[in-house]
Order: sequence, then C-alpha cells, then structure tokens
Amino acid sequence: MHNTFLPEQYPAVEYFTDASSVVDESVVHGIYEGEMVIDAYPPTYPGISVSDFLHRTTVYEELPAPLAPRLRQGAFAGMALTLVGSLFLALLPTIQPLGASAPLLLLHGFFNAYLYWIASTPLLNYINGVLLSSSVVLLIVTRNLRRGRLPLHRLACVEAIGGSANLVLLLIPLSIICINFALWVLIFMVIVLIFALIVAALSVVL
Amino acid sequence: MVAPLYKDEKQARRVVNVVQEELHRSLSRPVRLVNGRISIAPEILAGTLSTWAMQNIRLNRQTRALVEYPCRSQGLVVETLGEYPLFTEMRLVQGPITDVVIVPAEQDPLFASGQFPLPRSVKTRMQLMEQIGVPLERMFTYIAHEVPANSVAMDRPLPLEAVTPPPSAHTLRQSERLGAIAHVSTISALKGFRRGLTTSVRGMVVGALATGVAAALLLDPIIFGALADERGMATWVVLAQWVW
Repeated sequence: MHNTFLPEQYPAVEYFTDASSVVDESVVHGIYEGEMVIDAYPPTYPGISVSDFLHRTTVYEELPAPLAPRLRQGAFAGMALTLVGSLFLALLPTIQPLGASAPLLLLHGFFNAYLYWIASTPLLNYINGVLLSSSVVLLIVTRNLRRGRLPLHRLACVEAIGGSANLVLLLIPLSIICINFALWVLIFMVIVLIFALIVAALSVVL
Repeated sequence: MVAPLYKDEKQARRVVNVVQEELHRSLSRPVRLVNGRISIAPEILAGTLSTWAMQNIRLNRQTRALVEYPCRSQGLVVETLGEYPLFTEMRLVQGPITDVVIVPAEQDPLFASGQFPLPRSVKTRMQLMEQIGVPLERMFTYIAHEVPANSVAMDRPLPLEAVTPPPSAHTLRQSERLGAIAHVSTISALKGFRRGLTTSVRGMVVGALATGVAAALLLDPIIFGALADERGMATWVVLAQWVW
C-alpha cells in the first residue's frame, strides 16, 4: 500500500469483522492518536446487504396470530366432546348388552341396531383417535389455544366440528333413553294418579 | 535566431531541480497538523470538495442506472433520496406525536429475532427487484420504524416491543369466521357449558383488545437500500414502505 500521509514506521493493523459486509475489501488500518491518516483502502461498514436481508425474512401473513375467542371456546368444547365420545366408544362393548336388555318402550329395535352399528364401525374409533391426537398437538403448538398460524386456526375449527359430530353420535341414543325415561315417568305418574284416585274413592265410600 | 536562456546545460538543470523540489514540497504537505488543527491548502480543499461533489454525482447516476431505471421499467416505484453517509449506530428522530428510529438492519430487534416480517406483496416486490438485476447484494440495508413518542431511549437498544407488528388482519378475520362456525357447531348446542367457558375466554378478549391498541400505535416501517462507494457515502433509496 502506498500512502503519502501514513507514516511508514507505524505497522499496519488489520482486523476482520465477523458480520458480513457488502464492501469487498475487509482490511482496515488502525488510526493512531494525533495522527491524520488517509487510507487508500475503503473503510468497512458492518451491515448486511438487502439481498441477505431479504433471504432472512418471513411472510407477515404467515406469522402466528391469536385465536378468536369464539374459535378457542368452540375448539375446547369440541375437544371435550370428542373425549366424551371416545370414552363412550371405548365403553360401548360393556354398555351394549345392557342396552339390549333395557326396558325401552319406544325405538328399542332402532336403539340396539344403532349401538351395534357404532360398535361394528372401527372408522369412528380411527376418526376420534386422529381428532384426539391432533388436539394434543394443537394444544402444545398453540400453547393452550392462544396463538398459531392460520392452518392451526383451521385445525381448531375441525376439532370443533369433530366434537359436534361426536355430540350427534351421543345425542341419538341419549335422546332415545330420555324419551323412554319420560314415558316411564309418565306411566308411573298415571299409575300413581290412578292409585291416588282409588284411595280417594275408597276413603269417600268408607 | 533565438538566444539560449541559460548559457550552459548545467545551469538549466539546477533551476529545473529547484522548481521541481518546490513543487514536490507543496505536494507532500497539502494537509498539515498545526497545533492540533488540520491545515488544508485552499487549492487542495477546493479540489477535494469538487472531487467529492463529482463522486456524489457519479454515485447518484450509478444508483439511478442500476436501481431506479430497472425498477421503473417493471412498474416498481422507488424513491432515490440522495447521497448521505452510512452509519452504524441507531438514529432517533423525536417528533411531537411519534418518533422515528433508523437502524442498520442487523441491529433491528425483529431481524435479530430471526423473523423479520414482510407483507407478502412487499416480499414479492423485492424478489422481483432481485430477478430484474437490481444489485441488492451491493446495497446496505437500513430500516426506519415510526414508534410512539418517547418509547425508545437513545442510549439503550431498540426494544422489540416497540417495533413488533400487530397480528395479521387477514388471519384475524379468518379466525373470526372459523370461530363463528365452531361456536355454532358446539357452544350453541351446549349452552349449559357456556358460563364456565366464558370466564376462561374473557382473558383472551382482553389480550386481543391490547393487541388492537398496539396495532393502532405502530405505523409504517420503511426499508432503505444504500448503494455506497469507497468513501462511505451512499445513495439512499426507499425500496419498500407499508403500513401494518
């Protein structure tokens, strides 16, 4: 290097910066106190090029966003319903004989056929298994359904819909049982009423 | 016949040497350190400033040729601001309502977090610049953030909270729509459970409101590209600007 203003007795101090630089020359020289130095080499500026910057960015629209309150609520409910539905399916082999011998006045045949169809359809177990495992993943990734990318919001919605399907699955036998229970209660009330009338009539006669 | 100026060659040589030495003396000491002050000869100063201005003009022309014209040919509008020196520290410009922070990209906390978010349209625009041959690899990156007044201190690093963008409005809208479907399919059918769940959700609503307030405060980031020469001067170009 030839430089008229740089005294030759001073050794040139070189250093290399860790940060990537857009200036090709990475050699700079030390400046000594009280000495005016005009260097032939360009100074280096730590910094990154726009090109490097661009390759280290993410798409804003794909960043995690908080789940809408109603979506969170629905997903939680859906997960709970899926869990209940899965328990129901798991306990079904135990429940089915009880259902067959249950004193149902209405839809007894349909009730048994329905329980038999559920028990003999492994697809429902698979679907519920997938829903439950995905809900565990969803809870972990979104940190208890707080923030997540858009696909995770969609998955939360699927969880809610899966839960509602489980609700329908449960509601059919439950409503048959409820209707029959109401009928039995009605019959019991009628019997009690008849009994009360008879007792009242007997008390009047006697 | 013209008479010779000097009678002999030796005398002529001696005069030339004296002149040459004087010329060399003025060349070797154009800038001197006198009593701790720099003394620059007027002719040297004038020449330097002239050269400086010429180099600025050359830099400007180069930037327009390499950046502005190719972008304009593709319908991309970029604004060339002019020639300003590069810097390595954060700059803070305080205003009555908002402050503006200008930082080299590598000092931006969003970039340091590894997830500097660019809207899809902005990313596409900058990738197009790269494809059409704009020398982005030769340009320094600076980022300007408009932040709430007095939220950033000059002597401290730029806090991440001051520049973190709000969640994407598109994602929030989609989430609301999915939430409506999820709500109808489950909660409406299970109204009895609502009371218990509402309590847990209330905290989430507060969080969303806080995010909305932050979104209203965060304004427009700007990405600058600075095409520099060996002097550390650069032509500054506004490559992208948007509102979250």
